[in-house]
Amino acid sequence: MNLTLHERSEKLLKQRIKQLNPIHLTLFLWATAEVTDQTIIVSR
Amino acid sequence: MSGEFELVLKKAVELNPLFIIHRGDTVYTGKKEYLEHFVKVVEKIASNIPMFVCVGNHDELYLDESNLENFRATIGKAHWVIDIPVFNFRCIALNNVISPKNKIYGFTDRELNYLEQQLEDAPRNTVVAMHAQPNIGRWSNLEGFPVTTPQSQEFFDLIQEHRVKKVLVSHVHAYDEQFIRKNRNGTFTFGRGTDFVLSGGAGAPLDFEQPLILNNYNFTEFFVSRYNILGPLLWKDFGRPRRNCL
Repeated sequence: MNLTLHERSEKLLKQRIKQLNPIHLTLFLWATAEVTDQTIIVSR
Repeated sequence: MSGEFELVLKKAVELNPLFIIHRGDTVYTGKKEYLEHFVKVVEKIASNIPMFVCVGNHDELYLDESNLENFRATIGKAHWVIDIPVFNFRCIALNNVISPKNKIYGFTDRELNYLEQQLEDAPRNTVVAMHAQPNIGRWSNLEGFPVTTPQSQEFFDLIQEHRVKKVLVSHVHAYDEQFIRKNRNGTFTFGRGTDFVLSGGAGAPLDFEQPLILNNYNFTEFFVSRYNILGPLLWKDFGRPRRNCL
């Protein structure tokens, strides 16, 4: 059965959320705490 | 859809976002084969990136009538919500195209009831995504939804009461941003209030009405943390397409 774009995306999103690395998440939160957009780009 | 869309999408995919929100007008008319072609292009270029689409007037317009059957069969539901509790994030998609044929935009009572339900336990980082922009401020002369109707006034009351962080709109083929606050007496103040981000130039010929900030192909990037949403970060200048997409 062909999935719609949204059905396919929902499956993908659930997988991607599970794969989010908690260490990266912590760094990301730290980096975005009080810095400028420019710094965020560099930090990525 | 034009070759520019492929360039914009390729750039967005390079950034490896968690997901992409497309705020409508994927095709010129909502013919099934056009929508299927759009999905095919997205699945080819963004095979690993989820994409969620709001309904635009062109998606819904087919044979001069309002028709969402083809959209639902190819793209999917017209209403969707992305909930990511770890980021205190929720994105609520609305359909604010009332009549694509007559170019009427706004909110039905049913749409507002739906929004109210979704906002009931809205987390800190809640955004609303929809196609048409409000006819207000720099956007007064563009074809959007009137802000004086009781339904539109209720829309502003709801997003303010529930502290919606961003309202993402498209429709106009350009980029602009306005902070809009509705006052108790029904008037509006600019420069403070809810952040309305208009990013609508991703493929179709550009709009050049003044005084929009930027008349160029563009998309925007947002950074979501548990505490806040940073952005929009504006991306533009994607080069010239080698061929037309469709």
